Amino acid sequence: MPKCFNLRKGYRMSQQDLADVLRSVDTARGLPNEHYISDDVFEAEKQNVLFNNWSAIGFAKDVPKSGDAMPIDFLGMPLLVLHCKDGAVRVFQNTCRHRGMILVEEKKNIGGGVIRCAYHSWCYAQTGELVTTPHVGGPGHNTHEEIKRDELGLVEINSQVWRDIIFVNISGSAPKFKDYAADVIKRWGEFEGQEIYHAGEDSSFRFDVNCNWKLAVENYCESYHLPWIHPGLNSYSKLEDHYHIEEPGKFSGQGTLAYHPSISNDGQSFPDFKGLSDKWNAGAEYVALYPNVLLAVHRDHVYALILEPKSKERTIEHVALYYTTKEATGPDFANLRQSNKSLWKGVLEEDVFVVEGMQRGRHGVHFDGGKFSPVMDGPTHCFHHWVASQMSDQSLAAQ
Amino acid sequence: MLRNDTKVLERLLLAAHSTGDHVELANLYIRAADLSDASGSVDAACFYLTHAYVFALEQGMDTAKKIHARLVVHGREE
Repeated sequence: MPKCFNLRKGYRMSQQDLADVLRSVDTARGLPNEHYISDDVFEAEKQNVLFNNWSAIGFAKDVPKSGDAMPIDFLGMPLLVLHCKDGAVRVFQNTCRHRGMILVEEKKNIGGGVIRCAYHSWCYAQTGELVTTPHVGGPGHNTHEEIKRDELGLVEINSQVWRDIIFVNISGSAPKFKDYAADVIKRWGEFEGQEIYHAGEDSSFRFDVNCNWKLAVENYCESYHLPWIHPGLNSYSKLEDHYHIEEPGKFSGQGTLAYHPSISNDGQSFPDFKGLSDKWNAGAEYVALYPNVLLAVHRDHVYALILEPKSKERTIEHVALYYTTKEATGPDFANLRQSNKSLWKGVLEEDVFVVEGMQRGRHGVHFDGGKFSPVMDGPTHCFHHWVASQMSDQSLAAQ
Repeated sequence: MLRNDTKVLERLLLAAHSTGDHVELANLYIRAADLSDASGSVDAACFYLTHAYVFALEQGMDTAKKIHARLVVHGREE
């Protein structure tokens, strides 16, 4: 898969602007406007940023049972997430190898059966192998010497479920996920391997936002905006309680030293993860794992926000909250969960007018990408730098 | 295949197609294949067995293995 496409003339010009993004935060400019409002750049980013890396496409909680089959349209790429009868969650290209028909149109459960194409009934095992090709050699003749089933299985997409998030590398060109995400896995090693539990509807919500998906990443990364956009946090989590998280080329975000768990009026709180160090007593971290997943860890719950790019100026944000024990997802904790969901929904909703405002601002023809605060905007620049490096000619990125 | 049996089966098959009852379709196509076999029509039997096989596979029915074996005997399946 080529690193860069034959970009059109207008975009080649902006390669010069990317050189400005790739400078250090002190002197860098932000990504050019084209990265937010141009169809050509949206298409180029689709390949170079989203398909060439490990992008999040959904949650495993949404395919809980063996045989659950969930079609996903990811930037026009038809995918099929399948909870197979061997227990694995696999992702296939949702396209029949015969005539290119979409295989699964709607979410359903296929039990222990095969995936049958509705057009000519070619059938695929849950592991992707082509099982039968009815009438392919004429009526009642299901074989033909030119139909080599072992060469015609479903195309499986590289996938990995981590923290219940389904990641895919569509191009197949990225390192293994465990290498790709090794640093964030290590950073949150105390949480790694601990079970997380989702409580269903009262632990999920979504926003349909009129902005390019990258703006949601950029806003999530930095704490600079907190006192202005989230004044409610000021009472217990002040700007000075926050620190930057920057792992160039991988992820960035922010941490707080003043996390206070939700406690009900009668003193109920969620159970904590096991064996955490003192760091997490009042610590919490919020990280954007590039390209499109926003993560949070607290001692008593975690959440993930998947950014689904729908177009250059529209994004759906899918949020799922997870708790530390099965008990915490039961009726005894329903009120506390509702309170926690309301808290996060309120906080994240406060960001909507900002990202939508930045999207509209990107139509300003004289906007030059913006000037970063060398002190406060490091995590955002870290993301811009990564995007620019994915989009640049290799020679430019190497500079 | 007897004429009356054929008409009954056709009606049942159309009804099962109409309601999307694929387990029933697998069973009905096996009956159609059996009737064709009994009348000595291997091609017709294999046609019906093919349909029975597809729906049995789709529904994860144990009978898919038996249908597969019958098709293999006639050189119609791998």
